[in-house]
Amino acid sequence: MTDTAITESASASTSAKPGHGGAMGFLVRYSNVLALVLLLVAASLLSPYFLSSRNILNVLRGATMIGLVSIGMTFVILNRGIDLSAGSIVGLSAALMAAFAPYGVGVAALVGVAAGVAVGVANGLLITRLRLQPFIATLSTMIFVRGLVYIYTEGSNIIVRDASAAFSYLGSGFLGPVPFPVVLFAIVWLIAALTLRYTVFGRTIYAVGANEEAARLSGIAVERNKVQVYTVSGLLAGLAGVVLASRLTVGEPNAGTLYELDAIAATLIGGTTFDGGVGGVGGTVLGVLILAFLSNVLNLLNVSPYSQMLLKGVIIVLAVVMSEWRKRR
Amino acid sequence: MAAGPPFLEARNIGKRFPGVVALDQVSISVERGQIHALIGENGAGKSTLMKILDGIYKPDEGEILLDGKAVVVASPFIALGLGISMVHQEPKLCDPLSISENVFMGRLPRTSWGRVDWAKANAQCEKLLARVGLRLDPRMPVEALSIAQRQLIQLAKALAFDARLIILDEPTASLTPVEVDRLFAIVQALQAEGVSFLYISHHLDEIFRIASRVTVLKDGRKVSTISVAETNKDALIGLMVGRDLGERFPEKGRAPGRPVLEAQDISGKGFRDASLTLRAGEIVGLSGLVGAGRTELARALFGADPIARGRILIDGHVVSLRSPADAIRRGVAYIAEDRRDGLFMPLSVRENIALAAPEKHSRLGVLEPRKQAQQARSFIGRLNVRTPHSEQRIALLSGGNQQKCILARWLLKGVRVLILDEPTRGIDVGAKREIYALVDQLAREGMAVLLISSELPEILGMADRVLVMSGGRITGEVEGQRATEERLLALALPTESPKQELHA
Repeated sequence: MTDTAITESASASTSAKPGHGGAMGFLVRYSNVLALVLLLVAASLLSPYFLSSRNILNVLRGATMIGLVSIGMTFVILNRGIDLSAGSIVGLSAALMAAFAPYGVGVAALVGVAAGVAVGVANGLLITRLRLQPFIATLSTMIFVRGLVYIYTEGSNIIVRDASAAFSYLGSGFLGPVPFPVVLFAIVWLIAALTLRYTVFGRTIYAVGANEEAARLSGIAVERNKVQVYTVSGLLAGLAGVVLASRLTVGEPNAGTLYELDAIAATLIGGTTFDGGVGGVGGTVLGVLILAFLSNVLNLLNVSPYSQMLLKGVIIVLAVVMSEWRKRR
Repeated sequence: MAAGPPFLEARNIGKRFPGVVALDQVSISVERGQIHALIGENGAGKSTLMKILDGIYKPDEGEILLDGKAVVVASPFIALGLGISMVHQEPKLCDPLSISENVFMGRLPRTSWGRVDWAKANAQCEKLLARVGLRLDPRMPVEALSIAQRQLIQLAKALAFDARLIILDEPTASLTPVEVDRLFAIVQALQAEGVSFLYISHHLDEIFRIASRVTVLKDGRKVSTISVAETNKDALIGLMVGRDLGERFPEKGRAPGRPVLEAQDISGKGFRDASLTLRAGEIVGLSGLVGAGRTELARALFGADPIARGRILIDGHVVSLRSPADAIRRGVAYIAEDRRDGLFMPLSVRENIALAAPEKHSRLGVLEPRKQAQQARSFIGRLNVRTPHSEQRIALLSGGNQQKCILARWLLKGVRVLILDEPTRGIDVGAKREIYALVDQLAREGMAVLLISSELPEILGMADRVLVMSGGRITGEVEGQRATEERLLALALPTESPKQELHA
């Protein structure tokens, strides 16, 4: 019985919709949308080249891989977990996609995505069966899977010779004026958003993330849900690897390194919190776009990548402070 | 009592939260060596006032005087320095650390080298523990202690800081009658030494036992401060709620039907050889001291913990309950002792009600949002949950309304057996009465209810039949009509030969 004094009278007297509180409240609530808009406006003023459709579409295409990983990461973090192995999965599936190219793009992509699913299931089982903490379980698979990639590729690039048009389409093709990976990302985002909002699976992710014990006592199959969530993350990381290999027509053993950290950053910037049960993929997409456009405009302005990292660090802190404020309102 | 200014005086304290006035011009004064009770329904402003005195919140208006001098209590640490200490309902201690470290947190005695002087710390701690009636090794980690013991550790901590005013927030909520007696003896001993107490409780009986003055708050305003000798329970309830509550418990006279849930000689962690039968339309009370194994037994009946031996039957068929999901599928629900084990704080009232029963509002895993909202709203209405709308975050509701949402969850699910573990702990009088009425109505409609409670009046008022546990065993069964507090207590107290009176 901690805050009953405030809370009961609060619930009785506030008939307004949640998220009230005037101009300041609006700023806090939509801070990440505003940040993206401000960024776009500032960027277009600073660099004449920025607003060209070619630049925008290029940035979006470049953001696809991190974007796919970030959506999977959002599922995991909503569930109060973490998936550090996502970057290694990208590397594994990129290598497999390149290696299986001779069997046709369909087979190659399937093998790549299946590998991601397999690692995801393994993560889920390590966490639910061996009762490892998500951080430890996925740290282990991150190292293990990266090792697998090095062994499989013997440490050097798997180059796809005479890549077919179909093979390259996934990463480099266009659907009308829009790069195909961007279309793919938009579709995945839409499915993810609808899943989280309108399916029993989606709401269960929130429930388990919000309070695992309460979920168990409510008859929710907590362990199954966790395995599913890590499977989704593995699947999307696998898909990102497939798109990456298609784009580069090469499977690099280092592909996807540190993707998991960018994905975690994008998720946090998007307002999903490590406490679980709060947030969603809409915010994450904003986070991905903020990071992508930021690095684009800084590149255009010739800011060194090292200085960019400083700024990224600061932005993550600001974003998390904002989500704390949002929570308190 | 003493001449001169009172030890603590708070004048015209006001505190607003976004959209709410939590406290409006509240004044209170506590004399040296006085036990001053603070009562009011949940939401009356008790917690806010306490938190202001303890430095957790900053008041918007008003001043606080200690010994007649104005002070600013900017943080709980400053409060400690001023001699104000708070004993929280759920003890806030660092579980893995030793008792000594907890008692002296922030100021462990040191040697001249700056090293922690453990010998001194432990010796001093032992003395403090003796003052609060505990004989424990100060080197023991706190996590090994019961809630009652932890509360006394908090009290020892207050003494270590030479507290002159100790705020007790619902100190007896998780204590058994025996532990309450012990706590009161300690409080009275400290009172004799000149320590003042601000005592917050929902238990009016306790106030008459221990306090000399009582301040009643209602909706953030002070209703009255009166001498305990000049009032009575009904008058206080009248002041708290502004209406006469009359009889608290619903009439009995329910008709038990056929057995729904049976346990035959089940044993598990914390209980042994327990047998019981729950019938449709019957409320069975489960009484006993804290630690008697009631919660453990309840969790086993719900499949939350495994049983080592024995059989559980539902509708006459032996079942194996490997998880709560198994029990729920067969129509058994359990509402946990700690309300937070049942709540999804970041989620809405609607989802908190609907989450356990997706089959009622989804097809092939896809939710039907309208249907779900409609079901949630219908239960919000039926159970009189006070919330501005169904999309309100459940964290913003009071304890009583949160508990109603958890009940609603199981009613929507359509269970036939309801195991309630301390369902009214920390809930105000009005909400309690609503919950009693609801449970009674459910039983009349055929629900089998197992009611676990440490409050004997609650057991006596509600149960058709009472089982008593002690030391992990069911030590007796008493007809509701013939149950008295004395009789239940006698069965609950540990006996010299634990086997006697099994199924008396």
